[in-house]
Amino acid sequence: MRLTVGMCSALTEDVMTKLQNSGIRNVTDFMLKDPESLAMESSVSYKDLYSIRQIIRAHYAAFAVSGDDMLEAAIKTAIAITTGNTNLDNLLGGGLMAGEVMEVCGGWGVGKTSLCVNLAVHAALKFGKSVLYIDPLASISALRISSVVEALSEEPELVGQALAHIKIVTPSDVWGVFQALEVARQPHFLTRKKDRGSNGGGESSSIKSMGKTKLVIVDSLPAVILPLLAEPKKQGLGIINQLAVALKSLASEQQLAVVVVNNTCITLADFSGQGAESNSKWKPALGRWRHQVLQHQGTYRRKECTTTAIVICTPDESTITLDQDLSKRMNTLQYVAELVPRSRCKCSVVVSTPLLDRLFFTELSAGAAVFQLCSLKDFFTFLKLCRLKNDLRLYLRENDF
Amino acid sequence: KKSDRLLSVLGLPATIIFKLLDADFVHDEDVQGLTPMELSSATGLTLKESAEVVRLSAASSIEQPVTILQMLKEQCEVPYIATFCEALDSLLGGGIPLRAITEIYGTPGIGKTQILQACVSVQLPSSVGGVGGEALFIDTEGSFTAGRLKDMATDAIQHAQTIGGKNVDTSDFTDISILKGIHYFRCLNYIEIVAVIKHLPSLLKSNPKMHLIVIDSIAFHFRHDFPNVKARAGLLCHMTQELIQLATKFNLAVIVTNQMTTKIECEGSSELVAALGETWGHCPTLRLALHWSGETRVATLTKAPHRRNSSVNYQVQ
Repeated sequence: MRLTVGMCSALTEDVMTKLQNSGIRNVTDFMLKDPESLAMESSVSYKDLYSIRQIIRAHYAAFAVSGDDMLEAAIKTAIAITTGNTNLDNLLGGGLMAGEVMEVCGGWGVGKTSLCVNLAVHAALKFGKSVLYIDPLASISALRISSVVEALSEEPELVGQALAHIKIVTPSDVWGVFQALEVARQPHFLTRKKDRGSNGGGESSSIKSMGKTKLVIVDSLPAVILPLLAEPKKQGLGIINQLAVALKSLASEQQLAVVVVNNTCITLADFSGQGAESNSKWKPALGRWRHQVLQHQGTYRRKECTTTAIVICTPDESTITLDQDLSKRMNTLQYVAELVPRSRCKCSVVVSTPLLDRLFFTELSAGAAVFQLCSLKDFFTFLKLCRLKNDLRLYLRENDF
Repeated sequence: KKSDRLLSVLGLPATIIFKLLDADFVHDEDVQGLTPMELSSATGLTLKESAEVVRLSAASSIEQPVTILQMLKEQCEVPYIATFCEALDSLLGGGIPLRAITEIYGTPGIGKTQILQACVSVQLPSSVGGVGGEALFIDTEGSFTAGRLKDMATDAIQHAQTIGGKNVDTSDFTDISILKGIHYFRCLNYIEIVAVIKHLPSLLKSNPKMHLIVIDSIAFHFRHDFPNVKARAGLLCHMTQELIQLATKFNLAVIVTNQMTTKIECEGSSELVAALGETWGHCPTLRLALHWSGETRVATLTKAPHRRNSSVNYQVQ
């Protein structure tokens, strides 16, 4: 939504020109400016400005949900997709949880792709779930699959059905990966049949539909991201961040599990030779990626470890990364609540972005309101809301909107 | 119902995205219905850039995925290119597989350039169980010798006649036809290699019989000429992606040779490993290491999706 003439009855051409003359070019500028001072500067009536603000707020403001409700919903929808390996399941606390992103990293040849293929086959076979396999390196091929399929003990019919539930997309760059993630959002899958004998692009001769995806596997991430990081323009880091948000929001909105494959690379630090442990020499590639999104990170075959990360975005765009002590998390709550002018609020407010861990919500009491903010704009409108209303409880009930 | 797609995931350059965000164009729907002229006056983009934005946001074709079942049905047999060395063929499960990138690395003099043999074997007619395709050879070191090739060709013809016997006609398979079936590129720096790879789709369209691409060696220019490691990793990943996508689309085998380098451990010990680093290690589908063990040559499969890692002794004729 942009500031265009006609989006509100009060926003006429005249008003628009006056606003632009006072330096208001877009919605953010408009919302950040205090309406009283803006009314004086631009000689637009306060009433007009107020009605425009209402329209913008109605369009942008995030709805608040109580922490209790969210926890209940989370408990109801939580499913764990077992991995087929009891040890791995125990490590992961039950299996691959819906709504979470897991990274598998390791050196070359250790078996990351094999693990992912087995996860996919297991999910499709035992649970009948649809799986989306995003495969830029075309690592799934008949070569690999035939040996996996031969090892399965189930009847060929069941195996065939299961294999029909695993979809493969081969994007050629990171934009293709974004598009592929759109496929996972579709309510059912459409697959295309290639005409026999066609070389390269197949024509879609028939379309079948299947159930909703429950597992998305991206294998492997550095293949699409390293070419971007190589450019001197620094666009790469922003794109990694964007991809991280896309994966995490996909996982939590659609309630599916996401597995991402990463490489390891050598850290430059330890050449002192003072008995450095072998696992400090290796770190997952793609650096800041792990701070953005990960629920679980399994370092395959090096040292099994799981970490959870929380990132909170502040309005000045600096990000705070925290580690996962319970006590530290509580301090975070307080820190964040202080960002909001608490003098006007009667209950503690928690600001959450889609990047926050679901476990976080267990800390909340019924009195806490949770706003799901998806962008900085939401944050701004939220701040305005706090200033204008004394009793924030009014905003807890969705009917009021 | 089309989902709300952000404009920033369309693949536009960052400068355009910033201008769009400044003017509040965030989603696809914000741009819908606008002409490039209107968009450029609202955002300050040039007409050409606006046209690009409108075009990309309107393009909504999402490639429909293929299921594994369909893939298995379409590719029921995996063809191999025989190396004519029984030990190697049994190690690899038949030979060099199609639709995969195979890397062969080893110390100098071990016989990496024997892969010329693959250029000949790929041309073995399908009537005698071969692939019946042509080869493309990208030479970076200048070690290609046509004389050796001719010897291999003569051997291969005899071999074909032996397999075919009296029933199968292999008269098309001659010295001349084999030499004609190998397309040769000499690349003097890494830019030329990238250029050949970019040119491959049109090459493959005009030569549909191409079933093998050999790059000998990939390490040479990337080790000496390259300014920084990050850029190298990025470029190698990019090239691998293009190659593997072409390999699966056009049914090719890709063979890449690599050199060795010394890795120095913390304690002062050193190890001989493949060049081009860890990142390159993830790129090929199969990795075959050739090394000496006393007086015999040993081949070790270090990365393979379909076989266990194992070693075998082999000989060079």
